[in-house]
Amino acid sequence: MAETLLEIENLHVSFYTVRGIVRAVRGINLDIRQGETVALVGESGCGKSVTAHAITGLLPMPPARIDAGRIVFDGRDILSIPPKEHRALRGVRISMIFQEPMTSLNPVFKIGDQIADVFRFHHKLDRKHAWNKAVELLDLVKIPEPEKRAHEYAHQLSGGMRQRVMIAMALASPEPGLIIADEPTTALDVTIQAQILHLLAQLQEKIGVSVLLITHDMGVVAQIAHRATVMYAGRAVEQGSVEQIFTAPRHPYTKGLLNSLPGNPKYREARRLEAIPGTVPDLRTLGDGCPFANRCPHPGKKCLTTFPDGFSEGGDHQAWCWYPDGPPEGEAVGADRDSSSTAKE
Amino acid sequence: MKELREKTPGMSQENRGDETVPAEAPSDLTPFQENWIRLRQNKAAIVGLMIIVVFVLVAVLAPLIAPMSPIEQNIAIRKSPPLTESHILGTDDLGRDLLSRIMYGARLSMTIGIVSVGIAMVGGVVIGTVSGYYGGLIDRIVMRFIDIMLAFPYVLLTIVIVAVLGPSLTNAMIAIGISQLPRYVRLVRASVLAEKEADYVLAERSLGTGNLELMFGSILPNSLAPVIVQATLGVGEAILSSAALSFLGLGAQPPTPEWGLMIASSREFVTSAWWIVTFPGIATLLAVLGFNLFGDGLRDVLDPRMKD
Repeated sequence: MAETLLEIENLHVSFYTVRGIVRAVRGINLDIRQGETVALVGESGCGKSVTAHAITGLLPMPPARIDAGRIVFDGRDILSIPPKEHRALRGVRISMIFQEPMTSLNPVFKIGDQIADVFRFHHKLDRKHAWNKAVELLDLVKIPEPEKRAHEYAHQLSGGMRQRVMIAMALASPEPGLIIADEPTTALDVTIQAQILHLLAQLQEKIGVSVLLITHDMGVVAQIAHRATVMYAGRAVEQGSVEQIFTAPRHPYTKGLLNSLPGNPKYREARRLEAIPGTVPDLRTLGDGCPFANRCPHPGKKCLTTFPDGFSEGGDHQAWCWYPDGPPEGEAVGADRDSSSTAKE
Repeated sequence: MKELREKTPGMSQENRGDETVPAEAPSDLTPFQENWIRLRQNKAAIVGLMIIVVFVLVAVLAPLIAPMSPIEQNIAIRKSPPLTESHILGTDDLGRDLLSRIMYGARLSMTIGIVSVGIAMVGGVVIGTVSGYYGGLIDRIVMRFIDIMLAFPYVLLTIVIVAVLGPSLTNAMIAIGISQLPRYVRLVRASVLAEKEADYVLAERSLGTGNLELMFGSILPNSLAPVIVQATLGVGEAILSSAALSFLGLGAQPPTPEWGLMIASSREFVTSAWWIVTFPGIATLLAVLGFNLFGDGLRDVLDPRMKD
């Protein structure tokens, strides 16, 4: 087993706002090994981006505050090192790719200059060498005619090309260790999405970087991730290898997610996709129970008061649920809801 | 990076050309060229630019092209009307050649315009960027101070500053610069507030870029368009203000050929020798008009809402 590059232990992040305390991340555990792609899956507002920003130190503080937990990168707890040292990791060992390639490039500079700046800043190269390196990278991320493209501005490139430029910038760091890709393909159409994912996977194999992939798209997870953590309302609800999660999901939320994928064989004849009933709970008023209880097809009484302990399903596979197979007689809440359940197989 | 590529020959060829930009995109124009093309279509702006160029040329070449000395007096020919012998615009009440004085006056006016706007712009941009970028307490203190400055009428504030510093051309420039500073602070702060939330700022921060570099290297270049417009319009206003200050005796001192001063010292002849007060006035008007026309044209070109 490869060496562990990043380890998140029991991370808690809250936002202290005028309208209340939003507990965005409540006890996430995650580890990423060298050269591995780990996906963080969940719907909007479940805390996946907050987790990513906690790693890079880009959380706006205030209002955000890290209440507890450790993030160990390269053997150092990066939450307890001074901000200056944390900054020195950014762009050197940890880089980020953002969701919106349309707006993530500075509109007033040539893309070649923007990449070259990374070389000049981190590698202390002179202008000409940095430029050549930038062109080389554009070539590496398969941008046609890199010498010409380097002279262009962001608005002259298509979305897919801009995302390639963003990847090139992430790779420009001196010793790329971890690349955090925050919904890298959300803004792109499906064919370009496939190309970008393919490129990411290819580069990862060659350079040996680790990737933390943040997405809400189970399809993307299946394509390039090795392991995945499913998040719901700030908690990890299921964790394991992609194979385990897709073939033998244990948590009702994961089951519900997979059940609503259009690729599911049972939709061959169907006209409508099934959804998980209900909406995400308000993170400000959420109690200590399982956050999924109000949408769960088979909640038990215990689920309303206490967050479940994780149970192992063999290997890395873990799920946080009291009754993955439904609660025993007499424990169930609202027996009538069982009949309307959709996610239960 | 190099060895990586050599290990996998052919990889740079696959997957290529699949998402090229349409050929008709004007891809080889820099933003500067693009703006220049649009500016050229605006006739008023081009007229303004030509006026500015003429005044700048006259200012630079004044010692070479001025027919006479601007301060040499000749009582014998005082108050000669235009086209008297070699005096195209006539002479003033002390017999000095008006055309030469106006030409040398252009030097002063251009210098005053550029220097005072320079003071206002550099100071305003630095204060506004820092204030907008950091926000919080710094921002609140700076903005309240700017509010206080804006509460004073512009001319009054300028006069107060000159009165404190003492009347001279240099102090007039400083006073005009300080009086114009608040508007740049507000302008830059507003753009920086909007720009600092942009994704590219977060992206650059994630690459380890520091605060100074982010403020002045990344955000500022994106916030400069309104400042450039304001500065161009500001030069005209500064020229006017310095003429006003000199008129009041708080700017240039005699015998300096400053336009405002020339108008002031000859205002009693406005009925008997109209040319002495009229031509410096026209010169001021033309210079200010030039900068205003050009500034308006620039605004149309640089305003993002006007872009297609």
